[in-house]
Amino acid sequence: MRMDWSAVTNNVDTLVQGLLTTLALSSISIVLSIIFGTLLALVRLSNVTFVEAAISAYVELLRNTPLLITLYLIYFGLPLVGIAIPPFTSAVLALVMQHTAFISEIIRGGILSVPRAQVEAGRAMGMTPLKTFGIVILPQAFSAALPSLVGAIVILLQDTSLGAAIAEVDLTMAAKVISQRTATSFEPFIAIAALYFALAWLISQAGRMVEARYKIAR
Amino acid sequence: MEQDPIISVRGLRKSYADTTVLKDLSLEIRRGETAALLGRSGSGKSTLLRCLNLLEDWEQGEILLDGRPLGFHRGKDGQLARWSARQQAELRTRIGMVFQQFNLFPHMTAIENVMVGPRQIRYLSEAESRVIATRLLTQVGLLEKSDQYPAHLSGGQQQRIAIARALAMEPTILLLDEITSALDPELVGEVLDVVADLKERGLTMVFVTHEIQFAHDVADRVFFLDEGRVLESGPPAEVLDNPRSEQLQRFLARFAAHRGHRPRHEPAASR
Amino acid sequence: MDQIIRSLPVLLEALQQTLVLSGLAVVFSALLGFAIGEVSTLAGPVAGWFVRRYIELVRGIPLLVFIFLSYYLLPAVGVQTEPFSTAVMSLVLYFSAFVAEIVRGAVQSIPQNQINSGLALGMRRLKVERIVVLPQALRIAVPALLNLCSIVVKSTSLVSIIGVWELTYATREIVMRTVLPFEFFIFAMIIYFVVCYTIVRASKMLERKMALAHR
Repeated sequence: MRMDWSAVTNNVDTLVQGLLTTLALSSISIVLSIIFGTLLALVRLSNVTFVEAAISAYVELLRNTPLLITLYLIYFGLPLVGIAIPPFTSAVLALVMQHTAFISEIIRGGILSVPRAQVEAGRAMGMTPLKTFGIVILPQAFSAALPSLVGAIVILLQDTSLGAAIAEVDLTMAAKVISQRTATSFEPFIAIAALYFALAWLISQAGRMVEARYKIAR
Repeated sequence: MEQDPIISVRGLRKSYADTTVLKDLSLEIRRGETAALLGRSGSGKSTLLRCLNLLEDWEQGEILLDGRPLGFHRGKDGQLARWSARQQAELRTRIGMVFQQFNLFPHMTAIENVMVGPRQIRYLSEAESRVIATRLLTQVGLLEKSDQYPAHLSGGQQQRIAIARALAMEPTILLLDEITSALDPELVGEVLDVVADLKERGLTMVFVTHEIQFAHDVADRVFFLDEGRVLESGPPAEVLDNPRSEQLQRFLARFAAHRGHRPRHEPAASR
Repeated sequence: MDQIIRSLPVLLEALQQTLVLSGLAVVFSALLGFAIGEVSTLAGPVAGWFVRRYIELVRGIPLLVFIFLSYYLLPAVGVQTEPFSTAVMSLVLYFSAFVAEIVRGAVQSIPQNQINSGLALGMRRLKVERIVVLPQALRIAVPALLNLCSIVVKSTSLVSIIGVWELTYATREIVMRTVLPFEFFIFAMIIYFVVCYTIVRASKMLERKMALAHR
């Protein structure tokens, strides 16, 4: 089997474009998912039954359906109701919808893992419920949720590859474009596989460092 | 020590599900006094303590702090309404509590734990909070542990820091809920020393304890609770040395038998 | 709405394809993953190291890239297949790493003491594995494996991108034809949801039953 890497080396600019798009997609989606996921987790914990049921339903729906369908729904559906958005935005919307659900579960788990006794200690000092949440619960919740959050970020990074399904030139699409342009087959894909792996590894390492730094010993 | 009561509990009644824990409980704590609550488990002593700082509510009766009712106010329609979360929080800045399980915040160092009250609730500056925390950590003998995290400290040390944390709010009254029950025996002494010192300083304290000897030595008055009521009360010399009720006699006998493996026939050695 | 009813036979057949794909992927990745997991725990530290790197590698690459890679790589090495087989192969290779991880975790949770007891009775190591470790480990692993099944079903949607006909492909075809994206994609979502949610609930029920049985 002959491997011809010239396809890759001659098209580095396309790869770089794809990489940048993937990074942009990932970072924007991660930040939004964490923000909305946290909000959703908080709302869910507020014990208003109707709201809790609605959010529960949303989370369960998105956890049990393929991201690709959500993506197609947004990409093909929105133009029909007059909202014309570029593929990049469709991808961000789909990714955020999906991962907000996951992340809200992770953060909710983190919050619930803080022992009730901690809340009492805060209240007994005279902290209002809001202060108790910000000072006592939230730091401990995030520390507990950190490993799962890092995992969720890696998964989100990999899910950005679905942009290729709607012709968004992310890293995966870049490989497809290069392979079509140069009539080579798998070399570009090995290249991007390596890049994805490197990114995932970097994120895990960074995650491990952050975990070690902020680990709360009990 | 003045004779006027700072806390008056009148006819308190509280139930959980189908058990009535407090049945018509009345007592008074005087300003500057150190009061011990004793009783078997289930007698309601911890519940009473938690009612005093509104961590629990009650169905009937009232609690007065400095003559003013706690926990409920009369609404415009004359109905009794529970205090808001904000009002409850405000009360707890004046009545401090130390728990059996210490409950230090694990994500903060010792000094940060003590500083959190002044800083985040009383809104003092970082510098002022640090001064207060340093003074209190010195008072409980743990200044050199300021930058340690709770996970690296012994139970006795954690509990002393918990006391310092409660004191940082400068409470009028300090509630202590079985603060030595979760400690290894050899660590109990250092915590009780801190409490004895607080008594010297004149702080009003109410503590629930199983350390009968300590209650005997340190408390100004002892209250023996049984079945949700105060059965006997008075200075320890009266109540503990000359128990009148059968329940208290049985309660004390059990403790005398278990303490230090002394045989039952020997008179209890005094400290 | 009646568009949906008219397309129902097609969609149901597409669902069948999805289930066939999922079933094949599950069965073969279970077998392969089990083998890999066992090798990693039994065959000594070197083999274990390699297996763990393999698992890390697979989990660091998106499934879609895996699928494309297989799609382009196999013909290049002279293996002529059609998209369906390529799809199954990539799913199997990908998910076997997850199965291996689950099996490893379950096997390693069995205390060494039990293995020692088996050896002390005179059993050879492999027999101990078969009689003592695996019955317990597999019961522990079942909920996680069922959960993985649900993930496999969702992942089959990706093979539509290399032209394999299944539920997502069929739905997209119909949408192109009828221009009713909301109706049909939402309907597809519901179908996927029913399948996956059922699997997840079954897994949770099993987990609960096992927890109770182990008092």
